[in-house]
Amino acid sequence: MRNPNDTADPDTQELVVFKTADQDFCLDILSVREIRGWTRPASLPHAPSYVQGVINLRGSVVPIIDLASRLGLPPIAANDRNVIIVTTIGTQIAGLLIEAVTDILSIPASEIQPTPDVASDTARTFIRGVIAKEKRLIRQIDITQLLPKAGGAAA
Amino acid sequence: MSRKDQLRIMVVDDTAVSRGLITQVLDWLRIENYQTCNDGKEALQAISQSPVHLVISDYYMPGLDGLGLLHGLRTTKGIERTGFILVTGRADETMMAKGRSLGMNNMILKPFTKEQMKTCIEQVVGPL
Amino acid sequence: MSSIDLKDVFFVECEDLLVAMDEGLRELEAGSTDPETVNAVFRAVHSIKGGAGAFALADLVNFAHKFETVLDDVRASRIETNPTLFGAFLVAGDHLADLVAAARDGVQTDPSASEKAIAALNMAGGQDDAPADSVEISAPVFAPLALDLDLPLPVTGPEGRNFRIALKPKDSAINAGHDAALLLQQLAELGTLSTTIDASALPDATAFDPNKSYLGWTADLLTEHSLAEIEEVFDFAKDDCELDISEIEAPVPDLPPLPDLVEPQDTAENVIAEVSELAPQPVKAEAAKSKSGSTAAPRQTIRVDIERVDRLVDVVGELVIHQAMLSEAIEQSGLRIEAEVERGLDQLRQLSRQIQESVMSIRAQPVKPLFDRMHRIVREASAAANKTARLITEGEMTEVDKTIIERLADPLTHMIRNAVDHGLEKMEKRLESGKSEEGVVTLSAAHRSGRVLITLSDDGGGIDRDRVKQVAISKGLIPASADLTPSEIDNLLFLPGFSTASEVSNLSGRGVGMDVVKSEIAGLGGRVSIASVRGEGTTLTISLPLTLAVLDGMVVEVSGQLLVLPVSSIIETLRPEAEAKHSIGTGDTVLDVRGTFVPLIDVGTRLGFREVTASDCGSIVVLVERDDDDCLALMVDGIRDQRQVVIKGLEGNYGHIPGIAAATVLGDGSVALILDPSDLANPSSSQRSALQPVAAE
Repeated sequence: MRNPNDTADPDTQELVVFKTADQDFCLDILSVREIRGWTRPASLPHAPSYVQGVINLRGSVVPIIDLASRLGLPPIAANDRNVIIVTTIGTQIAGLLIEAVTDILSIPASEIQPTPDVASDTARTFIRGVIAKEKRLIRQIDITQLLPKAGGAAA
Repeated sequence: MSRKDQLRIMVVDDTAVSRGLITQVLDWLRIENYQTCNDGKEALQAISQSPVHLVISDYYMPGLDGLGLLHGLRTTKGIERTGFILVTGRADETMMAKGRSLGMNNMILKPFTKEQMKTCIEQVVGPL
Repeated sequence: MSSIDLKDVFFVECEDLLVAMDEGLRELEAGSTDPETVNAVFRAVHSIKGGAGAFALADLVNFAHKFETVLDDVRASRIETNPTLFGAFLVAGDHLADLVAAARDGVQTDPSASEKAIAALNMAGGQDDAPADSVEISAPVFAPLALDLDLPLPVTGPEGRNFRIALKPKDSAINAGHDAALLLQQLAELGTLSTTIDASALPDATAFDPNKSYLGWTADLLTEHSLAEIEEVFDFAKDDCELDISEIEAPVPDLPPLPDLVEPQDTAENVIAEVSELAPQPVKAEAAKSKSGSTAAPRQTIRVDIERVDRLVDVVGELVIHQAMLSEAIEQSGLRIEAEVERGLDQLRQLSRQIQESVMSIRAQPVKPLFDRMHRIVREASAAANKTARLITEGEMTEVDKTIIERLADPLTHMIRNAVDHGLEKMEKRLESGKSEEGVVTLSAAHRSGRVLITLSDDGGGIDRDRVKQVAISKGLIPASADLTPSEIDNLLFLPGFSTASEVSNLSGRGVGMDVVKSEIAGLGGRVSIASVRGEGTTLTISLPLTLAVLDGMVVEVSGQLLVLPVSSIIETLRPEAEAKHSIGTGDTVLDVRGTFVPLIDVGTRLGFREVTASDCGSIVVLVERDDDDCLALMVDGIRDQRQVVIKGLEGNYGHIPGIAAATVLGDGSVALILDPSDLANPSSSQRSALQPVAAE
């Protein structure tokens, strides 16, 4: 199976493009399991503020992460039209709460630029590349960094 | 029908591997009418209900062992003359004496090649 | 079956054979004098040899052969048993298992190990020259007897079915004119009849009353006719008789006694166990029955791919959830529910539950095979540490989900090695303190409050708390000035980096840290705790999560969230007066329950759902059981109902949360967390702070 983080692939990547907290982001389509509407999650005790809770996804209990909050941005407003992108991160499944999916693009690897050298650690940790497209800056998310570390993800 | 097609055989052994090794040879010989059983007493019951020409049985089994089964066959009305081949991985004089006195038809040592088993069976039922 | 398939079957069967051998050897070591025990061990080793021979696994065949020869000598009483011999047997058994594993994996083994084991057997056994007759014949000479196949095959066995008819006419039968003899005659016309009369009720002539019926008959009928036709015979008489007609299996032919054997020339003592069973007896010898009673054909089992079972478990889990959703949807729909629909839903609920329990019980297995493997670990660990120790197991039939059993093997092995290595004192020291030289390690399993508790205790020296504290300080794990309770000191052992380099053991080069054990257990969703009494020993307790898929839960409301409490842990529910709550220490509260003070926890604040306990919250208290027998009072905002819930794990996608055992999906599709009452009480639960967002790093 192709590793979603494998940027050595010379071919084009299929990317799901979406918007949250007024910014544009994208994810490799291979790590996206499905896209669904918003469901109210059940709260998790002692969870980091960006973990909204867990929902039932066809029998599996899946945590929901507010992507904006995870990136240090203000959490997005609760809205029935928010979208959950269900992703596979290693052996785990997690849902990313975002505002809307805008596009599915095929981008040749050559068009993905490295993350600009800015001060914010957040940027470097979570964003593995950027794409310029029609005057937009699309930030490519590194999903392996999204789950809570230590006490959250592993035993 | 040839002798091979008419021949009915019962294979008795408490381990699946051993049963399999014997039935492999029967398949190779193209003998189709065989049954297997993993318990001496059950085999005796089954044969009383539905006789066979030849029993190929292991010696060391829990409960009724191979020669116990042979004794059962030889003393039950109607099936006294059932053919019997004793299969064993370890032979000694006492076992052989007992087998002879009970009228076992043949015996074979484990491990055996398929040719050896073929010869052993043919010595009892004739050429296949 | 192809040769390759058969080889796989062989290795699978070896597992069972090795288990049987192991059990037999332990019974022998424990002093069993039942000859069938040795027979069983012999047969197991012999079967392994037989299969190995067929696949030309030379090393395995050679060793098994030597082993079986000594076992045969013991069976035939040519060797006297002694403790050294049993010790050699156990080592030989372990080695045999190693050879099987090596053969299966295609790995070479060190020939010196085999040689050592064989030397030990020979030494303990003593005899080199067994009497000539009983020596194995490697090339038996036998003159075959040909069968006269031209004889027709004997008539096929009796056709038809066997029925047993019990007939006892009542007193009224006489007046009604029914004649038992006539009835029996009619039965006889249907097939082959054999009758036994029961005249036990017949009084002597003086007391005989011609109007009373005293006789009864039991008749066995072999017939091709149907049960209905048999019953027809009794159509008119059945009201006046006690009648029972049942179908039975064909009777096993009774075996007449075996005629005297032609004895081999030499000593008459050459009687193998099986032969003695068939020796001429005045009473009919039932050669079919084995003396020790270990005849029962092994329980029928089939082997199933675990993935298939897992898929089945998932689908059935979905079934239960959707059945609940259906019920709820119907209720919410506002339709008038007909009684039929109600009944149908109820039935559905019952059946779903039954299917789920059955399916989960497929995966639940007794821990016995796991515990059995630990005996060898104790043997090896004590040999390496130069100590003697034995393992006692309890509750081996406690059932645990198969996947959990497999993942317990490593942590248990580590814990046992540590117990023998560090827990048990050296033999001299034990004797000094008045203990027996042999250390005792006890491993037990039990179900408790919806969890599985596995405890491992040793009767060694207990934890040297001063030393532990020193080591922790020297490693910088705690400040030098720290003031810790004994229990807190004990728990230092679980800290990563605690493994003391000074305690190098022969076993693994260094002790396996308890931190590794703890994380292995946590990976199973369980937790481990430690308790120790200096001079007496140490006990480790593993608490594993609910393994059954369906739980009886009480749904409670806390801070607007729905949570589930396992009913099995609930003692009672209360509505206490405000005066019954008392503060104690800094920030802790206890509840006065009929004179006893029980720690009181506000579930809402403990789980971080709210900051403070508002005055109108937590008016209902649920009293629950903890692992250690104590109880706990949980404050909740409301109790909804009690229902069966399907358990969904959290560890897969998220991880372990203190105080939470698992999650479930409610009828409306939403998720509710299942509480773990014991864990809620842990101080660490409330102190675990929320993880900082990465941006702050």
